[in-house]
Amino acid sequence: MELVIEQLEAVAGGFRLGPLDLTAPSGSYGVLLGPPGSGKSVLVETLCGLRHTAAGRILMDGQDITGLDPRERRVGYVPQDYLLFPARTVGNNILLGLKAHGLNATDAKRDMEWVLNLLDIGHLIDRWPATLSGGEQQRVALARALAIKPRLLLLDEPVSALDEGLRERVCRDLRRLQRELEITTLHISHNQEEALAVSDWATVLDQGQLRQTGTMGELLRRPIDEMVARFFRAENVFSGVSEPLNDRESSIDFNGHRVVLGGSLKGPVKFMVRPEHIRLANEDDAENVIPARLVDIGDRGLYQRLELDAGVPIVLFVPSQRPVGVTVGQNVRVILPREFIHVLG
Amino acid sequence: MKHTTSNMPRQSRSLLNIGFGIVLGIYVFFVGGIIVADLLLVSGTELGRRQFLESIRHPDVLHAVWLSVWTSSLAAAIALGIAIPAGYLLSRRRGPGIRLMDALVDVPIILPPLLFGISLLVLFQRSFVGPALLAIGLKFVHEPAGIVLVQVLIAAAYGTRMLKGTFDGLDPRLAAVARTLGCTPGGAFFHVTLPTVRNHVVAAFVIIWARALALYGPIIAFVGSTTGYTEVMPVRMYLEMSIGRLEAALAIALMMMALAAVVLVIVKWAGGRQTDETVRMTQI
Repeated sequence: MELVIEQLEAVAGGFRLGPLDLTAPSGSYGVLLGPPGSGKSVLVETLCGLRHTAAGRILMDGQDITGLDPRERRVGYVPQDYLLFPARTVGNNILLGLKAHGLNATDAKRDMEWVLNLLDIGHLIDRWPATLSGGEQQRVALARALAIKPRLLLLDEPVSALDEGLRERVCRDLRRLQRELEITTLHISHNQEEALAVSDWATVLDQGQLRQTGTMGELLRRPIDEMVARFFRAENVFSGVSEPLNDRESSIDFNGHRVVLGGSLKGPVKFMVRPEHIRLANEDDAENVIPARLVDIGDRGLYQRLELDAGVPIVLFVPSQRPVGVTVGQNVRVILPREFIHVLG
Repeated sequence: MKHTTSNMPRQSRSLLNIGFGIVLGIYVFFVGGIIVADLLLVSGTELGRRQFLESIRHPDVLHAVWLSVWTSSLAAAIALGIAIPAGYLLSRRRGPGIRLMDALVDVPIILPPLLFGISLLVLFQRSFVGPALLAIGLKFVHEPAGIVLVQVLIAAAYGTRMLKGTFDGLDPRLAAVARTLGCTPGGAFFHVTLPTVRNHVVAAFVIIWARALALYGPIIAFVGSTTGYTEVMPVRMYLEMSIGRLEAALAIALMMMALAAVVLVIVKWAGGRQTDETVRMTQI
């Protein structure tokens, strides 16, 4: 099922979402990213039909569902806190949707067993939600949403309530299930690792507006503006003035430094280099070398985070297995490789 | 909250429990003391025992018992039928109309009960309401049906207030999820919302039933007290006391207590369900 959102607007108190345009290809796994308060949940509730649409259209395989009641949309919704029905056992949580869709007892039981097996939670059938662990609740909420065989699956921060160890496994399971069932899925998150693990595509929402849509690789390496860059923890965003050197390359002066990059640019620019793309310079390096002073080294497990002062803060990551050989307070030289300089906006 | 309590130092926890225990103990002492004092007075003297036995066998008292039981039970059921939708609406909807209705619901709680009965009588006798109902064959003033009406109007206010608080504390997204699963708004309410607050509904029924059983001021004002026809237990008890038959009044009081205990046990057994987990979580 292809989901198309056209000029969609919704209002929640004083907050206004949109207008938004978005296309989720059939059978794809999309991740909607954004900081808290950006409107992710408002968008999800609007897609579910739980919130009125102020303007625009929502199309599913070309069918306009904007005015449809939530129960007619066949959208599976897994809320962030799962919201299992506390007065119903796991089995009855799942059966509710099946019976509401008019299935007789035999068919409802068959579909319930299918989804229980799919998620490997058959042993939980008679348990009460209050007695389940976070991981079990998450699986039951997913089973309840999948049981109605939704055309669109909306997962609102589905793993944020789980502990670190469980998140990765659940993300893998979500991806496997989505591929197996080929359900168009929109997964809401504010975590880029989560998005990298599951997504075919991702989009960034901020202050009710979609800022950029693409693959996670595109969003990480070629963010459209400073907001998207900073959201993906691109810590090195600089402001400078660009001057073309020739048809193929330009220089940017910033904070008393100069870097060269490909392309012809003129005027004030903002540019970024991701911390993992900056490296300490060797003696024979000459281009885009910036002198700086090391002000802090932080151990991040897989890598070390070096914070430098070059008149402007510069952050770089160095793999932990490669000793940096410098100490705090020492003067160093770093390289901003021209191929990793990305001009914003 | 569970974690906060379990993480408290043992000494602080025991001090807290002792403090709360003292408060609870003082309260229970007085409530228990009332029952024991009544029992002692009735059973401690020959007069008390005789008047008690006379009372529980007296046909007028037995009629009052039966009248109290059926009117308060019917009134509690009707009042609950009002309190559930009223409490839900007041909890879930906003607007000036809702705020006005929210304030009006409290009138039967705030108004002195006797004044409520008198006001109801004025409404029925000095407006079109009484004659209009009479025209379709519904008689309330000086009739047993009037007892039910008074009980319903007052008990529903308590039930509405209780259940509004319950619905306020219930996440409305539960019903929203049910709607995404295919439920109608009604289906979501009856299959998800109402079962979730089931224990609160049972508690509300017990409270409003007890409230209805204990009413006498507005009943005297609106219905009067015809022995063997509209005389309910609290009215009988009041009349016995007014003519100096304290033991007989207390005998009726003890019967009311026993009746209330029986109903409480039945309702709790039939309707109140707690999972092991909710019991465990409330044991802080």
